[in-house]
Amino acid sequence: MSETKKLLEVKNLRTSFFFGGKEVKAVNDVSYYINEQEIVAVVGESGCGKSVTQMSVMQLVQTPPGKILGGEVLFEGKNLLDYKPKSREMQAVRGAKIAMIFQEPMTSLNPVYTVGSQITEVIRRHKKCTKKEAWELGVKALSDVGIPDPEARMKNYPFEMSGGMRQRALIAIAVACNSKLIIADEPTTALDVTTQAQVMELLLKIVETMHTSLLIVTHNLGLVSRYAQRIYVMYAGRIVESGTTEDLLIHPAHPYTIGLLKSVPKLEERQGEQLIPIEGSPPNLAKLADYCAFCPRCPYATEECRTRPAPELRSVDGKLHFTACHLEAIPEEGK
Amino acid sequence: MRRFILKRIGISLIVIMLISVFSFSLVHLLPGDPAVLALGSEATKEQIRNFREEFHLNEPVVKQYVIWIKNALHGDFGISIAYKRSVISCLSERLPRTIAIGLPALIISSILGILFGIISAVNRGKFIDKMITFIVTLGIGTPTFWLGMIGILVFGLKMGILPLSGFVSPSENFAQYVYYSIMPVTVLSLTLLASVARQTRSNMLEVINQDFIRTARANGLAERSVIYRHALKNSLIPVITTIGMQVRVIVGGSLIVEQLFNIAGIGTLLVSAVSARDYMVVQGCVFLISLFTVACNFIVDVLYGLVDPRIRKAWR
Repeated sequence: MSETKKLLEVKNLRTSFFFGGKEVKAVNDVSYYINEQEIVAVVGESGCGKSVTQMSVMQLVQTPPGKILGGEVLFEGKNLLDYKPKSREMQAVRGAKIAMIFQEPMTSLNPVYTVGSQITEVIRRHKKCTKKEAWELGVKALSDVGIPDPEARMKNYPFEMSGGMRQRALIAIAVACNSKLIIADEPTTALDVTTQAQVMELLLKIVETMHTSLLIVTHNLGLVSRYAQRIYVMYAGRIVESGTTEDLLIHPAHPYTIGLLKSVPKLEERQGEQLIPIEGSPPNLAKLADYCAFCPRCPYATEECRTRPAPELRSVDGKLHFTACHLEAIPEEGK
Repeated sequence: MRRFILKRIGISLIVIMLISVFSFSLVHLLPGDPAVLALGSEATKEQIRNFREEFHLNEPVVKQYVIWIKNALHGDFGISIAYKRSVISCLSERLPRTIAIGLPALIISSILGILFGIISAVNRGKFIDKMITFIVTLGIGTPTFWLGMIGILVFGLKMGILPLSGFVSPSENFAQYVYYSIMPVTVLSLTLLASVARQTRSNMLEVINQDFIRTARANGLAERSVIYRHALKNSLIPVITTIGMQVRVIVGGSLIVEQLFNIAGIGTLLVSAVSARDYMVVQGCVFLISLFTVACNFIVDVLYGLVDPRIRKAWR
């Protein structure tokens, strides 16, 4: 954590989807940042807007129905939202400076082109080099991500590879162009457990050797707790708690984070101890109330929570730990 | 790839064998004596006997088939009773005209259909998409014969800018050929164009929402490459099927179009042969059209393999 230079800073980002005149606030005034060579995690349930946030950063939100309504995405000092989504400038950022890895390795590669052809196309898009040089860079990238016999694998079609192998190939595309930031959107969800660990280790290795930053988007708090330096917790399109991994895991301040932690199995836990799910389901983003969105599911909610407007992020300890909750203290036995 | 093609050729040959049986039995399955059918009810017993001798009609059916297929392999499909000349010469005289109308129609409708489909899909929901969709729906719903008649009425009779009917061979005078075939080709291509455009549009829309398109965009590829390299090749697979299957629309349509525009092609030959009970000509036409369809299916299969590596590799 010696690095303090911010690589990406998102300020007050708002993205909504419009379905038949109804506005669904998927990303509602979200701010976060990631430093150089830092590993940061964005955690939340399905549909909390964590993926849409990243898609907005990349300007890949489908318009219509989606629309980025406001905010700033500062990357290396420039506001990416100043560029049009289909502009040459934005395309030069995607894949080259910010690479994105998705949840579905099985379907994220084009089935009718070889892996090599897809890697070299991206390399040649972002680097001035001949076909042959691009091919060699591709082979090197494949071997960097630990794919055995990369020469032969370049000539393979995606359907000739396993899920883990495809995810590695997708990571190879990101590695090949020396991206400064890798956004991994649920990179391991679709993989089996042993492959999950391998892919995570691979991403860690890349951060170390290539000095990139890594933003992991996931619903798996257990997974990121081992890797991330800082964590943002998202709920209903907002960030509800942020801080170092230590802050969040040991002193969670938001009832939602507490709930998440209780629903994750721990190794040291005694047998027979129950996991406690968070009751209820996430709110309908089209019908958000004015007050705290977690209120209906919150075991600590008071009458005050329903009368006051939605809470803003406030510092817990005067340092990096923030929470968006009215409650000053959560009863200790709840934790 | 070679093995894939050889396999397809083998399958095509089997299909052609079956077709030869069908087109042979076509005549023999008809009720009544082929000799009487061919010569008419006023033929004398003498004539009928000679006819039966000449065409081996007294032999067992299987032997008749063997004789027929042997001759057919030598390009001899028998004699046309109406034209008093060999069937093969009738066919070879008329086939180029049908091709001269049908092939441009097939090419134009495929290219324009795919193009309209892409434009429509990329501009989904915008004015141009709505316009293309409207025209496409109209094109699918409009019968060829009606369209041809309206065309003749408007462009031929009222405006006088296009000829009412007729045909000039492209080898004779190319400019005249183009002038004469504008209307028949347009009329013939419209139905196929509409279905290709519709198919391309829906496939493109489906493919554009796939994960690998998102990956392509996330990797900073230009929109041109995303649409024409990544999306198009994937959406073409079902479109090729449509085109391959719709070739019969062109064949069927040429019957109508040739009749409408008075073009002496295979279509008119078949129609007149059926009404004149010129059964060897019918046999020849049916066999030729079937051969053509098998050839188209073969081309579609090979194209499939070229476009989709999964099929290519599975066929090994």
